[in-house]
Amino acid sequence: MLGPEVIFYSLAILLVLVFISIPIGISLGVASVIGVYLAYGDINIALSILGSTAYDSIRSHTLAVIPLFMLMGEVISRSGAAKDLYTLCNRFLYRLPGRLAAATVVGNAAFAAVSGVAIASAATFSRIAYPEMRRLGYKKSYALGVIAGSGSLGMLIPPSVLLIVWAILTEGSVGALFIAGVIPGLLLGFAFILYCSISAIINPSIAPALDSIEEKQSEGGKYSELISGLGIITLILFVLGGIWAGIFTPTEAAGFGALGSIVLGYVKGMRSQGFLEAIYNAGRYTAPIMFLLIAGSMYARLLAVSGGINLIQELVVGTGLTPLGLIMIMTIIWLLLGALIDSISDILLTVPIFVPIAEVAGFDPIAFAIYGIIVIEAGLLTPPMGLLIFTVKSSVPDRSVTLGEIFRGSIPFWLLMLLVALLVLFFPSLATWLPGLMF
Amino acid sequence: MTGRIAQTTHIVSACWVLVLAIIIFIDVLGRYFFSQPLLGATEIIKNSVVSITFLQLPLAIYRDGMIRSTIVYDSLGQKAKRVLRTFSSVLGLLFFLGTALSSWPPAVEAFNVSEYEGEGALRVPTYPVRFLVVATSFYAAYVYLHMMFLDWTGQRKSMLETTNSA
Amino acid sequence: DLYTLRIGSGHPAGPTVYAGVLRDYLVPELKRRVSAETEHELRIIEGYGGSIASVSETLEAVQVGILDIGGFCTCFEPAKMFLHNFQYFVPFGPEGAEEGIKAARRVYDAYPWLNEHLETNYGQSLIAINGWDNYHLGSSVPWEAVEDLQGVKIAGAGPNLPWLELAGVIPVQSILPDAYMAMQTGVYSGWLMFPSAYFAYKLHEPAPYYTLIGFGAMGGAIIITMNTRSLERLPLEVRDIVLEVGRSYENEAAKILDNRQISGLENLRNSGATIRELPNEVRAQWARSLSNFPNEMAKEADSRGMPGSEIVRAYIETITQSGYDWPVEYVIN
Ligand code: NA
Ligand code: NA
Repeated sequence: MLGPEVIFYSLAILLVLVFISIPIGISLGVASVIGVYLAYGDINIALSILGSTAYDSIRSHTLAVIPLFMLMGEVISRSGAAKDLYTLCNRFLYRLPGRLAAATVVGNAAFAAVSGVAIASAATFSRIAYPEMRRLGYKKSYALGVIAGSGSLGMLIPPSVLLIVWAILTEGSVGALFIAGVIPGLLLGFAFILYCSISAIINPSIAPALDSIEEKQSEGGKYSELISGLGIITLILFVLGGIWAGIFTPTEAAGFGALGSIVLGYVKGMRSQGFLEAIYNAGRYTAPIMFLLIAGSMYARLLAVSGGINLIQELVVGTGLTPLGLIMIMTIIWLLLGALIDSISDILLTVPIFVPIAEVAGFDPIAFAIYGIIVIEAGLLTPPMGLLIFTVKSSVPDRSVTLGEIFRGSIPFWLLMLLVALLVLFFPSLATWLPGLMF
Repeated sequence: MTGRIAQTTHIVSACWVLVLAIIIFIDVLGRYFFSQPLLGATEIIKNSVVSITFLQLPLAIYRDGMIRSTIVYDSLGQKAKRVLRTFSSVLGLLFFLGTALSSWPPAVEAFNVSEYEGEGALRVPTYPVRFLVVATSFYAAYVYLHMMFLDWTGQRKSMLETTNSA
Repeated sequence: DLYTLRIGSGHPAGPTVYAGVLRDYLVPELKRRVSAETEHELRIIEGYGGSIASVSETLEAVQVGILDIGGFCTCFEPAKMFLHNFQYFVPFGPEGAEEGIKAARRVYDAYPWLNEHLETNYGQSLIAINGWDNYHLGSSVPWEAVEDLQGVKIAGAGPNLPWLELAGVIPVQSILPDAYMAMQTGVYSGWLMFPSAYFAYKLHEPAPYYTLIGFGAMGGAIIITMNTRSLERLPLEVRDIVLEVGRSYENEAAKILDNRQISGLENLRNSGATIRELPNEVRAQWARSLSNFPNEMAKEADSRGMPGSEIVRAYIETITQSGYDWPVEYVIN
């Protein structure tokens, strides 16, 4: 039976397995089982984490949004309505360079406001936005990056599951944290759009302007675009508005969204064959994502039972660093953990240790929470592994896309997230001003 | 045959998603128009996430849909690739065998003590989902075994082509 | 020698009393005493808030041995721990948590079956009990008469959901960590919840209407158990310390729970929640509608091969003997 050093062995096993192309979920699971075996010396205990996690970790009302939004995304994209919406955006925003990328950011911000689950946004936009951006000649990694990157907006713009977990663990106000996330969330969204446009101006080939074929579209085409555009906008307003007005839960909104997309598809001329294909196909993208969530919780449990977290605590506290040094270490740990486990487990494991340290070091608790959430979400984009990256990989309807391309494309977004995180840290009023007005 | 079963469980799962949307629709309409939401909807939705996922896993494995990093794999020769694929399948097989075996005792216990969720009129038994996890995990393990067999008998590539066009 | 023990709970240690006292009292006390009184040392790895096992997995985690010591509410094991929920079968009891826990302790001591059931079937030994303070109803929508609750979705842990049958609510089973988001977004509109947690989980933000109904404190609803093999692996003197510290935890945690009940209510008032008392006659009417509930549950426990009638009767009698005046007479036949 080994002590907390188990986490180093299991990490080594994990990295080797991932490196030699074993599926990420299987690698996480195998590394966790071996790690637990080393910690307890009992094969039954080691295997038990497989069964208990498989049954319990995804049995959640909130996670039902993933298969439902996948279905909605698939129907909308197959009906041609998504294409029309993006063409409409393209026409409408024609002065804005990289307009489809910008539209994806805005779409994500709107979607974020309802879903509360970053991977649901990333999965949905991989199905809807990616094909359209590619069709208009956008560069692959640029299109992939914006989808993976803007998925994280969902965790800052309320409602956010992560902010709730954080508030409960630190006994703070959830409502105040929700409000605190708004300005940094908008700031981040704005930074994303700015990046998309500037890089399109510098290098127009990554996001070509409206091409001549689209210009010459018939009147009939324009009419159809209008129907689809209005249809989707109505659907989004219905889904979003329903949640804001307290009529729907996010999961219910996803259910209505899925049925609404079927109505829209019917109006757009989809019939039974098309619907069956959409339903069949939507299913293909849920299991790999959920499987990663399960495997990530296995690894999180290994971290918890091995005492690896106590090791981290000693590491952070024992070094006698300045407040800035402490923040640096916490940030690095968050970015590394984000590579391996999901954000909620990440918070469960680290927040009880980090928050008291940050408080003693004199950081504002609300600003620190927002900082932490942004960094944890950035962790999901940090190479060599990241849940958002994998989600995009498994959701895009293009098998030739590689993980490397997605990572490359998301680096600018990753940097922007860290930048905004640092801004919040050094100018806490970005986070504390709004809640100060209201609470 | 293996692919056929995987495809069937997948179709069941895909339709389940649609049924879920309909259940939500009935629940919400019932709540607003008749002050009578669907009893047990919350519990059904929660457990459906597990069922939907596990029913889809066999086909995801069969189609090689599990996410992996392929940088090293792509740079290898045919023989080395096959060895790596086999190793990957062995680990997958062990993983799902382990999942099935360790899910079995709690499933049996859940059945024996009639474990349920909810209360009163909405007591939802937990054993169906628990046994479903056992069964689909066993099947996922078998799919990995089958893939190894296809790989070493030279049929794996053609299988991938047929299922991709399906 | 150095012994490693893993302790955990599904509820987070900050806002939930039993878990907080595990972290702040039981763990340091165990380490201190073992180090001071024996030649051994304890290394304790802690995992609260579900980082090792969620509220509904803790019993199983202790059984398998992933956790050596686990704290959980028997309410999340409604089948395996059916009869351990005896306090839930008898609503409208005393409001003091300490009182409730003492009564439950008497029942546990008088009926060894409660321990044996844990040991024989689930490989774990009871080292302490705790509970919940007085259950009330918090909601995101205001209500006046009981009829206003008709068709409203209200959440509870499980065994307490039948309490709401009279009101015609739609019961939903849920867990505390999900409550905020669920009430914020309308998955359900109310929670059966005690003051010690209602404020700590910030539930007054989405659901500011807190009606003091007083279904009673649930003594013994929380149990702290230890994997029997892990316990037997320990040297005798360490084992004794574990059991002694368990008992002192039990007394300590009961007092803290009542303190938190009082401060929770105060904090709710100060933070602007709308608190109102249910009129006594409505409470009595509510209790009358449940007059046969203890008997029904006792009989169901009997049918599951558990000594239901005996234990439920004993619990009612223990409370009655303490001088408590029930709003309705419960009969177990
Ligand atoms: Na959100
Ligand atoms: Na990462």
